[in-house]
Amino acid sequence: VKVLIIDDDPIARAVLEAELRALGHEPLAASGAAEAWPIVSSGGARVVVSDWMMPEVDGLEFCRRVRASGGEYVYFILLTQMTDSPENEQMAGEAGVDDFLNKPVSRHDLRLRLRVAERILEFTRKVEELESILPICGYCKKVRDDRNYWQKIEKYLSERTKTELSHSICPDCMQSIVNPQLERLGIPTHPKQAPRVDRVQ
Amino acid sequence: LRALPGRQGGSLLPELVEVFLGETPKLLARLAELERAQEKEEFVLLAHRLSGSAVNLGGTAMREAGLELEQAARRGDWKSVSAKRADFETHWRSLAAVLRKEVS
Repeated sequence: VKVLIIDDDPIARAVLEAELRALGHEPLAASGAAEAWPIVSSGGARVVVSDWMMPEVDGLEFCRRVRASGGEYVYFILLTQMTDSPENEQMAGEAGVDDFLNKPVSRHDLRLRLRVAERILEFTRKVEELESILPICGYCKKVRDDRNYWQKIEKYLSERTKTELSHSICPDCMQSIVNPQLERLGIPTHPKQAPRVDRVQ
Repeated sequence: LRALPGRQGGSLLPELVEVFLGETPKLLARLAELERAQEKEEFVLLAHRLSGSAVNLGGTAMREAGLELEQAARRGDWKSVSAKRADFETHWRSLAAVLRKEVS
């Protein structure tokens, strides 16, 4: 896994880089948010291990920026030197931090956190994959939305694309459904239209 | 740390000790300047960074002294900062001696 380390302390960065390599991961390193941002925003790393206290942009603010930018989910681990207080944990949770590691980072803790990160990222990938498949009823053509409600495809499309749909009748349905009904009722039918050539066979 | 491979082939420890012993005196001098100027924000960040470096090299006593120094600066208690910085420097000298011996 590509793991981005963000720390202004070159010694802490070097130790983490070596530990990550020893665990079989691929470390990337940045001394601050300015260096880290292009890597994260281009999808260069899906796991970030960032120090909390850094000059200019601290770890919490960087995490907020990552979350605000959307895109693929990034698993964010925050490095701390102090014992975590409930206030700090709440603040970090609100910023979107996934987990903590205390300095100095032990290989055991790092391994455990990265296993969780890998699992979460795998679940996230599966969820994204499932979200990209739209279940549609084979009979009535209603579609199931992400809240598990079945709704008419017109409503579904209209809500998501903000497109106003107007009802009409295509030439195929006119010929096969509407005209026979009109004929049965004795109403003059629309002239027959040639079958569409772009019809799916 | 002794078992981790360095970036130039050997062990990582001597590489890091070299950086730490080379950089820390300059950073401690900067810390003293910041104390004189009572530049709270930069002082806190630098004390924090030095504590982090120290603990990565096994300097837990220097880290503890550094965290106390950081907290005193955060409170703006510059009288206390002065005493705690002296204590921090004492721990730095002890750690530096141990590290020099370790890599010699």
